[in-house]
Amino acid sequence: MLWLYLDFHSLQLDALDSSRETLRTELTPAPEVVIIVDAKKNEVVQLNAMAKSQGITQGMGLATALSLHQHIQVMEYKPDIEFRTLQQLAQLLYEFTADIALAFPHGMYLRIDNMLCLYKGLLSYWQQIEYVLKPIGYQYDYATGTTPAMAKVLAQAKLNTLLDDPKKLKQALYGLAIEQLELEPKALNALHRVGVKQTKQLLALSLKEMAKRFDIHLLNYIGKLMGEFKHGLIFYRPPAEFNVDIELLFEIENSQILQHPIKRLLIQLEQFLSIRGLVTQQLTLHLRYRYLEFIELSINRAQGEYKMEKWLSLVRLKLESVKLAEPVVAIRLLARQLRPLTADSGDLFSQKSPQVSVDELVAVIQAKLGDNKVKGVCLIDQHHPQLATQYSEGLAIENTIENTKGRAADQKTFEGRYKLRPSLMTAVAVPLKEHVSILHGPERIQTNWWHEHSIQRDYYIARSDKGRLCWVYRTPQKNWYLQGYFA
Amino acid sequence: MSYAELSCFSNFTFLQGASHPEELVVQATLLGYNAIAITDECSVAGVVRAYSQIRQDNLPIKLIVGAYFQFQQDLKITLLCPNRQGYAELCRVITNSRRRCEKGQYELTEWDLKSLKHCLVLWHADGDAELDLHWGRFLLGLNKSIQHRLWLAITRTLNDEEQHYTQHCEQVAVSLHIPMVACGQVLMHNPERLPLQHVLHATRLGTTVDKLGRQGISNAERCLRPLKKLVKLYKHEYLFETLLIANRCQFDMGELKYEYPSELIPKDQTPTTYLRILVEEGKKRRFPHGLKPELETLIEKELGLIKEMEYEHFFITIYDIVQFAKSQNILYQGRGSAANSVVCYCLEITAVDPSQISVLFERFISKERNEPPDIDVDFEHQRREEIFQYIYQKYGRNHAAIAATVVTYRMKSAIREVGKALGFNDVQLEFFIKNINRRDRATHWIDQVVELGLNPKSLKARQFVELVEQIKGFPRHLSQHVGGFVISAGPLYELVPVENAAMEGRTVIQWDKDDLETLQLLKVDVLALGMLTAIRKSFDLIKTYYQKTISIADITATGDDPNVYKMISNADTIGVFQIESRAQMSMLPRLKPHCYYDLVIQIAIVRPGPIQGGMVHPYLKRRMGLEEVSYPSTAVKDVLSRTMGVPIFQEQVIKLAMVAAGFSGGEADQLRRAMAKWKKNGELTKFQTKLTEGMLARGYTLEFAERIFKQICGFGEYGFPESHSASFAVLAYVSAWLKYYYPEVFYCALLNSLPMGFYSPSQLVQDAQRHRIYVLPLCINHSNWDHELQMEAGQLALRIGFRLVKGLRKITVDKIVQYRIGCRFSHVSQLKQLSIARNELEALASSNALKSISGDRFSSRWQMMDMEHDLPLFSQVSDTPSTYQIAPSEYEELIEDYSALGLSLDRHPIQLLRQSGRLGRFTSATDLVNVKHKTPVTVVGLVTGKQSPGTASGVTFITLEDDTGNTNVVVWVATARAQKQSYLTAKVLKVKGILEKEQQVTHVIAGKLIDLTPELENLELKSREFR
Repeated sequence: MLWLYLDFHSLQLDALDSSRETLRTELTPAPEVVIIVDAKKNEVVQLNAMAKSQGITQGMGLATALSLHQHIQVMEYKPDIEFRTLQQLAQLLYEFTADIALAFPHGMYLRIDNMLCLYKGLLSYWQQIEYVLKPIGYQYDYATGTTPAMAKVLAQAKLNTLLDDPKKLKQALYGLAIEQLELEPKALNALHRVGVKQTKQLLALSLKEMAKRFDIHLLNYIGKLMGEFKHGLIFYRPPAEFNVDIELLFEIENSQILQHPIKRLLIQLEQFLSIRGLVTQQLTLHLRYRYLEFIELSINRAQGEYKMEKWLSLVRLKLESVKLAEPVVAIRLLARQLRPLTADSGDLFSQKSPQVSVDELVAVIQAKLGDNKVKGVCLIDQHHPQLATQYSEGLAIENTIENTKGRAADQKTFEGRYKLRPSLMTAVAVPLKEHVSILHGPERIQTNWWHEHSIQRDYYIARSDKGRLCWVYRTPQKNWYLQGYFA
Repeated sequence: MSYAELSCFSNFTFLQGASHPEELVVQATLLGYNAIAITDECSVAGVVRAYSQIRQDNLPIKLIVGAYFQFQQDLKITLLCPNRQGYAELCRVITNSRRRCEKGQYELTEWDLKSLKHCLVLWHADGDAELDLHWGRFLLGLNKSIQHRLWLAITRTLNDEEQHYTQHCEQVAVSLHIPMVACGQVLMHNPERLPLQHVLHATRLGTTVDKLGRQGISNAERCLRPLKKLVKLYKHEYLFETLLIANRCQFDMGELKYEYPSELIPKDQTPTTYLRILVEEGKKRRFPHGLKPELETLIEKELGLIKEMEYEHFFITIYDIVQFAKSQNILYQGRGSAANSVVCYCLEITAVDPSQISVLFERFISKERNEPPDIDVDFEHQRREEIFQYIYQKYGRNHAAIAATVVTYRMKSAIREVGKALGFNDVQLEFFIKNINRRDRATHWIDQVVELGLNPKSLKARQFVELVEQIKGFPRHLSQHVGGFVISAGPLYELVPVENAAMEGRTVIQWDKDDLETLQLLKVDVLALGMLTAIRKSFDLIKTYYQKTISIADITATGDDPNVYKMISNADTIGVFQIESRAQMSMLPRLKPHCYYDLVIQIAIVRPGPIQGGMVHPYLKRRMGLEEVSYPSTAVKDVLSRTMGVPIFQEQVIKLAMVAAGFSGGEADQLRRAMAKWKKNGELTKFQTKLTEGMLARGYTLEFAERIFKQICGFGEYGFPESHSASFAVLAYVSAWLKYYYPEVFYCALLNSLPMGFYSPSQLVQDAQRHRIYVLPLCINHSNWDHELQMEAGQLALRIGFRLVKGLRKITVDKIVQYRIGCRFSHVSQLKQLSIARNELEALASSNALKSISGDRFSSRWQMMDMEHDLPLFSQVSDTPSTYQIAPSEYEELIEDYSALGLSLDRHPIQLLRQSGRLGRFTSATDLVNVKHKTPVTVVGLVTGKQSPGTASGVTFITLEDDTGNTNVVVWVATARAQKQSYLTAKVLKVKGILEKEQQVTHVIAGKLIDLTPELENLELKSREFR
């Protein structure tokens, strides 16, 4: 077998740079010294060329780096960002190699012995890979190996040479220091203390003697390295998506009629999803005109759905507001964000749920009016009355008093109790014009000093001359404002 | 109409109260309160500070002592102390509650509450009808007397529920017949502290201020409020009730008197007579040839003052402790201002002969000071625990406890906590904190806020800075003091609450040493000193190997030995107490001490302060006769002649004030204390007039008076007590004497007393080898746990002990030694039979101790790693000869030595490098003596020390170690900046520079710094195949 390993050693830095390239052309600052620091170990893990020129090295402590150069841009190391970028890279390379496995956070194994016949040799295969990777501009080291583990350590040792002769690969491996292998610190230390510093020395030791002295992890690793054990990689699979295109038999000018071909697409979608046990939250329809232009429609359902009828009713509603500039000749249906179907907990003894669930209702209204026109209201854990009630997306309930950990049950405590608040609150308080008589108060609220919304107000419940119960407040400057009405 | 605030949380309710106790009492006074109660949660730690502030400023407000408690999480009460018995009750309850739990927690039990017979109880009702009825009845049912001592306390904080809550409380009060009273449950002294209170709360919950939400307080009403406002908020009766309660509280902290354990005094004696007996006995011992009349007078004076101030017990207690130490052969020495007392010398508490230094008793005790004396006693550090146990045993756990230390927020922790609470990112904060260290202290850290990504003018930046400045100095938690013991006659917990320390078996009181001083409670400092251990071990070795019994007194009695002083003047003082640092060693050849008093001055003067203050150069010059010494009067001459007219010691300044300006002893001491604090509060200026006028009146010139005053001002920073220096000089001389006359004993004892001192085992052993001590390597058949002296080739040699081996325990070594009694080790298998843990066997192998019985260390270790031999079946198998192929190179041997032992007896890394030919030409440390002043020179060495004394010039001293000794390299700021990499990261450094020589003191002023660390790594690679 032959494996290739790609080590994108500065992936977070590179991904950053490419997004900032665009910014930099607009401004003209001096080139920056950028380092990425692992917060836990407080070490520099990635650095750009400018940083290297200042004498900063990988593994250096933050304090030392700072003494070498004062104006450094320091960023926190986030392996998750790297892994996400890696997955995108894998998707790209998937076109050219069938067996790809990802190594968190920024490495990739590619199995190439079965690809070589397709590409007629190692060199042309490699040219294809380079061709894809070059425009992206991420730095990487690479190497081959007879086992994945071998390819990985050789790549991390910056071999950057393509070899397919097993003898030569073995030689290269022998030349590595044991720190360059992926041994556990304990094993590494134990080996150092008996003078084993090079891989050649390590591999010369009898396995029988090793077994008496080291734990199973080391032996397994050596086995994987030399090919005696299987590596057990998990191969990459691209994310599922539904993407079907149909050409219409004849042009359709009436948007209402479009629902018939769309219905066929939705039936296919239902089959695709139900076989996989998935649902989708969003549909995208491309209605294509003759000369390749198209309009895009998006239909959302927060809770995810797979049934054709449900989607169809929403599509119909959507189509009502669509104006076709030209006749439509083809339709594409895309569904990308697929999620596993979670079963409804159907309780035999629960009360009958209404015909139309709240969620469906919301979806219908959203389809009709537009997604951003439908909002929920929730209570935020805040003293500031205006900030305490906010709009939320759909029915999302985040950070409300109920949901906040541990306080849900604490209705009795002062924080847990709901406060006396008006049912109708104005978005912006208006200066109080009419005469009122105070009934209850004051409730002094002095908070949010940490940003511009800092307030210091005394709130009162008062009755206006007309008999309405108002919520008013007074500022330290003795100005009175009206905030809301009680039902 | 006035008011008494009965419920305040100071910042000693950690992470809740947002004001210092001092701020609370000052503000309450300003607002015209009648009285204020400091009632921290289960603590009286802040009370003494409030008391001290009131006394200091003479504030017309009464302090009430109390504490707040939560019982079973539902019942919330505040206890107030009306009298001494109430106070004792409170301390007892706090002690019991805290001792039940681990540090930082407390738990109140019903019994605690039932036992309260004097304390006044304020009940903070919950607001729930059912709960409150239950707790109300519970409180009333506690005991018979509670009915007249219980109130329902109501607090108005202007929240939405108040009307309802107030009505409810009134109903409960009426139905249970409990009177109501108003209280503030104050968290801060003024409303501007609201942001800080939120920051503290957020820190306590581990969140940020904006996520605090409704858990944070909703306004700033929980502060000390003006009377006008209180009148509007509470009914008149409730406010009046506060005054009634305050009236019942007559307890004053000053009532706390110290009662000394009386069991020490024999039945037929009084403390005074007993002390006199002890002093008489001591006089005979210390002055066998009689004493000068001045000293006799002094003793009488001291005893008189001691009797007047009633301090006899204190001296007798310490006498008892040091007698115990003496009986156990534990070396000790009193230091500090106590060395000014002849009585202490007679009682054998101190070791400084008062005829040798000029004692100033007023420095120790004075009437004006009205403070207990401060006696610190150093004991052998390895045996100090025995002293602790003696004290606990003798006086009982209830009568002895350690003083606390208040750990406060400093710059770094303040920035970190406030930054986190304000939501700054962790990495950003760490970056900022590290950056601050690097800056010149000249630029204020506030301007560097831009590093956090903040605009210095923005609101967030300003708030950040303000909050950090406020929180600095706030207490974080109580910790254990180093060795300050409080011992009392009655149970300690009736005097001050005792809680659990973090260390097991240790208990701590809630007050720190400043609090104890304020209340005039006596504390005994039981400290540890490594050198005492080393000296005692030396004496033991001398007894064993030379059959001589020597004591410290014997050595000092022989007078000033010129041999010893010659060695000292040559700066051959590695290992010698107090004069072994780089700075000291560079001064010794200049100052050339040749008598005891010279040492006393040497120790005091070679510190950054005096050097900066310009004291050293005039002194040096005058000593060398380069500058003339003149005195404006004989009185001044008496004071300053022994230091060549340059004031060096604190006592000299005090004495000057007395003789030249007519200060009384006590006044002069007050001057000294103002000197120490003068930067904090310009108190010194008060004294200026008195000093100047006094001097003018006695005929001194204005110019002289002003000069003296200026020196006094600068003195505050660095003035060293002569008595302290004198005590240390005794030990410095003794250790030098031992090094000169019994060097192998000296090094052996030192090595066995580590950790202590300035140098590592490696450096000490190298110094020993340079002194031609034969050092024997670690051997399985000859070494013991401790380093030892062994005869080898007719000479007493130093055998390295197993204690240096990393990872090896003493129990294991005991097993080895035990086995060796029977027969020597000749096979590795013998070791394996001893059931020693495999990692320890491996450690032994790597240390090369098995050299004589098993091949090289790699193959020995390989053999030890064999797990098969752990099985009982195989333990009898005789070992097969090792077939391990990898043998260590010379360099690898060196590395293993350092890894396993921390030192190497074979060649020095620099030697190896020199052999490899990679170093180029350079001069070794010993050869520098032949190089002329101002010649270019190249030196090479391991970087073993880097010191930046923090002076404005930013110079760094680097110590380079090669195989012949140490070289001092001076690196100026510009050089460091230009060659940052080498300066910061090199482990092996080559320096090209200019040699500077003053008398025998040699420095290399660095020009070019070359990092040779890669060369060291190359030594390793040489044997490897390189691809």
